[in-house]
Amino acid sequence: MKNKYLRFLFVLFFAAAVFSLLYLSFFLPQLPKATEQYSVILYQYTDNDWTSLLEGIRQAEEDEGVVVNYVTTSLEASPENELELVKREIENGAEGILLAPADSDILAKEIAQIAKNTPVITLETGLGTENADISGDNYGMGYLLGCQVADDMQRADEKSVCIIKEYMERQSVQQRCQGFVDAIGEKLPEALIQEYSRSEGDYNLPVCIANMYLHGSSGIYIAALDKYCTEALIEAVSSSESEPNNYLFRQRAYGIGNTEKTVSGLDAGLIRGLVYQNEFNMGYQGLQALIQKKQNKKTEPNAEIKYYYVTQDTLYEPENQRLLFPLK
Amino acid sequence: MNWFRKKIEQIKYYYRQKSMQFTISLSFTLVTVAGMLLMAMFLFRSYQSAMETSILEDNARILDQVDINLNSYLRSMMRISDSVYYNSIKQTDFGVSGIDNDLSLLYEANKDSLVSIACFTEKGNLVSSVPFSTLKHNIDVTRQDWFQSASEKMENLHFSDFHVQNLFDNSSDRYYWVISLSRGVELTRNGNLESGILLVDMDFNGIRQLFAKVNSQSTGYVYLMDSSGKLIYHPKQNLIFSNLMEESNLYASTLEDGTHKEVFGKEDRMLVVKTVGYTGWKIVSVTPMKSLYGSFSRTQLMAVIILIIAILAMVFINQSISVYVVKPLKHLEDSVKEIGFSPTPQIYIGGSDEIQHLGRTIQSMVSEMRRLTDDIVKEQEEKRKSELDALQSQINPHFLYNTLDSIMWMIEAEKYEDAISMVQALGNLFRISLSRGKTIITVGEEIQHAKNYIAIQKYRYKNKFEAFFEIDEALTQYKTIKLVIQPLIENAIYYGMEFMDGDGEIHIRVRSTDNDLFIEVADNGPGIPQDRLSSLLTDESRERSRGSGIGLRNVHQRIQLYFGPDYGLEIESEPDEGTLVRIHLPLCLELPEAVKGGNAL
Repeated sequence: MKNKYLRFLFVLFFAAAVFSLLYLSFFLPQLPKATEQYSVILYQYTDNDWTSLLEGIRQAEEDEGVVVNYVTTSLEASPENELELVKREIENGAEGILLAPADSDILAKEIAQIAKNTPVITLETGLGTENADISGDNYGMGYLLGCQVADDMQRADEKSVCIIKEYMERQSVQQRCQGFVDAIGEKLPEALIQEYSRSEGDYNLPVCIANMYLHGSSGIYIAALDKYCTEALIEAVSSSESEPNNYLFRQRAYGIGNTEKTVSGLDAGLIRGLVYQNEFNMGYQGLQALIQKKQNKKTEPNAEIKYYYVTQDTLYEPENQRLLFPLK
Repeated sequence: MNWFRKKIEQIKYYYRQKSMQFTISLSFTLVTVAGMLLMAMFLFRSYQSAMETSILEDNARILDQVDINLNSYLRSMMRISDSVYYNSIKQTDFGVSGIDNDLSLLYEANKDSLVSIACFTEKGNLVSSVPFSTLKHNIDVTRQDWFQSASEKMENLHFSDFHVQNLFDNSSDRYYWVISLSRGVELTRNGNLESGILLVDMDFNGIRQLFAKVNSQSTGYVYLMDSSGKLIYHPKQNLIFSNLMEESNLYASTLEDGTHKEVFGKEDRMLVVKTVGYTGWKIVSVTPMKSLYGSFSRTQLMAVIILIIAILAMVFINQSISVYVVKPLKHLEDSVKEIGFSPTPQIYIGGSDEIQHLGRTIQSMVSEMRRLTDDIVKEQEEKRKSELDALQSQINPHFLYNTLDSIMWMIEAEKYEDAISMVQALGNLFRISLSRGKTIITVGEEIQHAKNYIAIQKYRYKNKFEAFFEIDEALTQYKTIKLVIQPLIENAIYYGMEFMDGDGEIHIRVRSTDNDLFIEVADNGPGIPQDRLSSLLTDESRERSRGSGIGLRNVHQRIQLYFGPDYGLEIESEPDEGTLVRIHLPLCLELPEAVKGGNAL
């Protein structure tokens, strides 16, 4: 009985070894390699809005050996559209979503529901009251910008500053605004903080900003808190070059962002200073965090993304060069 | 050490307890597996080494190719610089004309690898440039590294770090990563010489593409750094700039050209370093050791599976061989075991020549042993027979003395007739006793011998008993061994008649059945107690001192020796009634030769 059992085991083991060999030799090489597929959903205005971030994602895509599908919405697209895109991508086989939410509050509930089955990592802007999974410290960026503006205001003995309050539905912008206001309040308690946002029917933000500045609040310090407002501010300054107080305008304009337009605007002296975050890191770590979440590995949400303040004078310093002029 | 020895002893003991088949199978398997493992390890190491060498050679070859391409690229840039300087700048008096056209032509011919060509005065004023014509308003070129390097060493060509070009107004918002090739030049203006700087901005993408192409081909990656270890190109440059990755470029910058090993970030890596001529830049090829072996992990797995299959096959084959070798031995062993139990054991002769030979040897040995045993038995029987025959031929001296004493007494008493009769009976007794040395006589002769004996004893016992013979005359011609009746009569007289007072009777009867002959000696003496009766024919300790010396037991043994265990004496006795002793013999007219020779029927 024992001998029969041993003989059976022997034959079984032998057969398994032969089968494994045949499988490895003939069958396995023909099998297509399964590749994980993820989707990145971003809102954007121009193709260059997320250059560094996309470079980071592509690098992670290459390093991790996954396939990433890049989807963008228009800047003015509704949160519902963005939600539809998320659902469509999941239906199309995306195993995880890297998302820059267009609206923190509206999307929060729906995305939380989706995230129960499909991993979702948020970039830059969080959902609801939650911070983004991967982002620089938005409050800190606002605070840093506020400090720089306050210093310049003190030097110029100016007391008024205007914040362009657009896209406030994004938590990131809200936090930056709060940081900026706090910094001004701390550094320059007597300062008057004005807020500007478009009225109903005002579609062209640069024109609105230019009109507001040139015809109402001339000489005031002005700060934009996200890349689109900063681009609009630069465009407003650029479009008003012929105006007599254009010099003051460009000397007192500040923004946040590192799109090609904002960087070239700074290089051209159209704004005084920029706060920017390391978007390459954000993209790279964002995709890595998503893959790890999918694979149920321990993730490190809110990875530290550094941010910096840069002026025309420091733009070409090696550190800033590397981050603001990505090698493509 | 003791522990080791103890273990060895335990293994040896274990081995000794096991069957030969198990030992052969296990030994063969162990030796085979050990051999195969050694061979596999050797082949694996050879393969690994060959692969390592091959990949490193490939990488070194690629590195050489990169070096050639990079040198070629840099030389082409230097040729452009030389061309601008010697063919245009040196030939031009800038007070009279410019070099814009020459620069444009040159730029157009090389615009794939160039970003711009520009010439500056020593104070940083733009003399001529293509394709851009306007310097940024806030730029002071004299503070830029490439300008300062060229100013400090006018005679040399200088390659800057790679950087974003920051010179010209750029309406397209496009920025270029460049490596600036600068040199000091002499400008002629209105016949006067003045110093200037010639700048050729090489498009960094040219170098990048050159390396990117190489990195897609090689195992590991290749990067470029300047002589101080500052990275110029790295396939993961952005990761390094973002502090998401580290590179051992500073360490590598200290290495001589050649192959080096390092451990970086807990990873064993192979570095091949090559210095690019003139610039002092270094090309470094990095090959993680695990990537050398990772590529043949499938082959490795297959090799392991093949090894397992081979080992299993070897186990199976060894098992079969051991069975093939041991099976004849087991058959032989089984047949040898029969020797003790079977009178005619069949020794197995089969298997290999050696085992057949062994079988034949054992068979021959068994036959020889059997022959020898038979001889010994025969010899023993012969010896026994001789002893019995010697006993049979003995006449107790006491009996002879008493008989002769009786004869003497008769003569003294002048009973001559009786003395003559007694002497005659004694003579007949001896005659038959001797029988010319024969052992087998007729029943008639044996009866005659008994009668002679009775006649003598009757004289001696003064007719205390009467003897009656009931003989079928037809049976007297049958054969018997001699001196079988007389000892029975002697016993009957000594133990039955001695105390009788003239009314003792001894009956001698001869009868037969189909194949058996029975001679009975019955007396009416006191009989034999039952406790003695059972041991009368078997108890060897009992000695007789009276009579002829031939006891019942001897008669019984003699008959059995001659005719086999089915024959012999049977005794029936009842106390106070008498004793009957029956001689059971085969009914034969002629005894076969074997019986005559002494073998049982």
